[in-house]
Amino acid sequence: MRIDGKAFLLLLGAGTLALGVATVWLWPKLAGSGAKALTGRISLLLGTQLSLAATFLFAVNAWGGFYTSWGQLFGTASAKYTLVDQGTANADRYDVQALDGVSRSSRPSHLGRSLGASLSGLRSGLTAGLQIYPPSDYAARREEHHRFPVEVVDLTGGATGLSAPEYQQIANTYQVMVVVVTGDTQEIPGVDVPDSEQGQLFWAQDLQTALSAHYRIDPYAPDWGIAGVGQDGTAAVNLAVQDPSHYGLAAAAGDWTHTDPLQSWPGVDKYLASVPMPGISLLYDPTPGDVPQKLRASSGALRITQQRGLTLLGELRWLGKSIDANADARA
Amino acid sequence: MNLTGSLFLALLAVLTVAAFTGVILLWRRLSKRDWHAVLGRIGVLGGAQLMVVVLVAALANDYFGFYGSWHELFGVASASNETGQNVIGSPAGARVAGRRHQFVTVEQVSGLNVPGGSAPAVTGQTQDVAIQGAITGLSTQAIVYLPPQYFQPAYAHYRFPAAIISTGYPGDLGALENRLKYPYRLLTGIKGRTDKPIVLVMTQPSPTSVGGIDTECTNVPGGPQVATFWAQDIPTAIEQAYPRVAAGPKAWGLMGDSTGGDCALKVSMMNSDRFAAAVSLSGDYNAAEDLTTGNLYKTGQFRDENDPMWRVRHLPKPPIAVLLASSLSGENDLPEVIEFARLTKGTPLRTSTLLRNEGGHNFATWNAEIAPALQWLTNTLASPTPLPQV
Repeated sequence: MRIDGKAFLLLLGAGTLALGVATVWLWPKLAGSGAKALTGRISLLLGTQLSLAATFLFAVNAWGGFYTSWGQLFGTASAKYTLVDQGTANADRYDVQALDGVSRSSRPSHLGRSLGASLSGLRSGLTAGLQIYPPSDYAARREEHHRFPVEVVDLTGGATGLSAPEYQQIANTYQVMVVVVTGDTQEIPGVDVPDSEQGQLFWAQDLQTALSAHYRIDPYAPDWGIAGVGQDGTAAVNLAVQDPSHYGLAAAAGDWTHTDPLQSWPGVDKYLASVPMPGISLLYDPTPGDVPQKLRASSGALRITQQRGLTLLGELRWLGKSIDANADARA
Repeated sequence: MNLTGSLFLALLAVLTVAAFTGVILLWRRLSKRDWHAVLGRIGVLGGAQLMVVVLVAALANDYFGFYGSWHELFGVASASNETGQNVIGSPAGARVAGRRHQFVTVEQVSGLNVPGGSAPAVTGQTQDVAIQGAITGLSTQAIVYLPPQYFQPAYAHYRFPAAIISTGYPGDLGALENRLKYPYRLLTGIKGRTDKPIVLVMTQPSPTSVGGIDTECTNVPGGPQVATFWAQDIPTAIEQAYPRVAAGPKAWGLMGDSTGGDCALKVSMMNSDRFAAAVSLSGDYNAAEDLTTGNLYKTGQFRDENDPMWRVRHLPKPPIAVLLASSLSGENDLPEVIEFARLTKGTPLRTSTLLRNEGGHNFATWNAEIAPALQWLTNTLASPTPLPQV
């Protein structure tokens, strides 16, 4: 009879019930004053109680699947096991391969120039085109131990970007890597939309690990900024709000407050109601209105800057200045 | 009075014996053949039976380490759940401002009591700590085990890999040390040169501040962000408080039994840039929702996201190594383990398996699996510094 089988449990249950009924039924017969009656009382009651204890324990055991054979209970079950080891995952190799167009064996002088690449998100499955602008002295010998902050420009929603010289100037002025991301087919949200685009996996994990696999990148979240216009601005804000350990700075221009609520899952205000204010800095254009309640003013560790008529260039300059301020604070 | 203390058990035992004696003493008074007496018999018998069930439940809870406190049993959150009002900024923010906040409070330090003494350089050291989550505002009790090498001069410049180890739900934190003996098993493996020294951070699936709800390590929409607490807050706090713990994904792993195994697998799949390896002993593979979890996921789509089987079927396989343990006979997760291994074959996700001939959802099974699983984990994690030749 199986230890966790219905038959065994039913038998135990029926036994307990029968003993209970028998106790009530036989009660008067065992009410005598002799030692025999007393022994009878004690035995019957003890039997009823032990039977119930056993029923209870075996029922809990069957419910939880704890001991599934008598052998396990009594320690006589086979202790043999087989371990099939498939080894480590070697994530580095995949992160290097995820960025196509940048060769790891390239001489530093090659990496120091702006170049185009494509990213196949290892974790998100999303793909995007990248234009990478290192500061022009990235490859200089005196910079060889310098790790650079990053300004990500999200253009996956199709907004018009800046010119290459403008990006390069931002990179040089603020000593940052400027990484322009363009979508293949769709905009990439800042959160993992349930059953849909895994935007947070893309921005926080795929992009950061792939860039770090090729470039000397500052891994410090407050030195990672992201900027977008319109729905890409929504993505930028959501990303920093919900993932401050990957992005400490975000900027949103244009109409960034009127996007599909799913792109902000589970919702900025709903999310922020359950956590302390994140230690991030946000810049946004308040003109479109309907700014999430909790982002309307600085609060706790959250820093808010508003600027009407904000442009993409203005966003990138603000990111650069914020990164400079981080460096000053550290110094 | 502690739920698991001997005082409580003694009190229950006394009450059970008293109830038993009471029934024997009242026996003659209730022996008439009228319905008053019959009702009386049923009443006193029921009372005595109830006491037996309560005593047996308390003994089983004590033995199997389900609920460690009244607060865990009745689901009352501790006071520090006030969305982290006492947390001032994130560690990142703190560093920007040029200040450092401590997110780990050491409450008690003990040696490991094994033959050969309890000197830290010989047996290592356990520290009972409270971990405060900078991002999530959640907080939890944990036990940190520092291996003996942590205290040996030869390892002064070695960076130790670390793993978060979890109980199931319900599960008593102390059981990891006393019943499953993680520190002792790791120490034995290190001494036998089969295991490499790593730091263990032993905790529970639901942080202490969340109270008695099984969160399955989920970022509950509008609720506690437990996945983030595991993936970001715990490693950040530990790396800051123990600077010789290595940072970076290759050095961090996750391991647990039952719900702790669910958490290890799910959190590593969602955060493969933070963790390299995970071990799930007798885990679930279906984003369970039951009486203890309540409505965790709110929508079916979000539940899918938290379902490891859905993730391997519908999302790219993240670059992590996992060890899934089950039994060929006696455990119901075996088909899922086999399917998970099949679906991930030849992908960046490496699935190793530990299959016992026979086992169940019990300590006997896990006690037998922990030693080989720890050996796998400590050899799968990697330190950025070479292991000293001692």
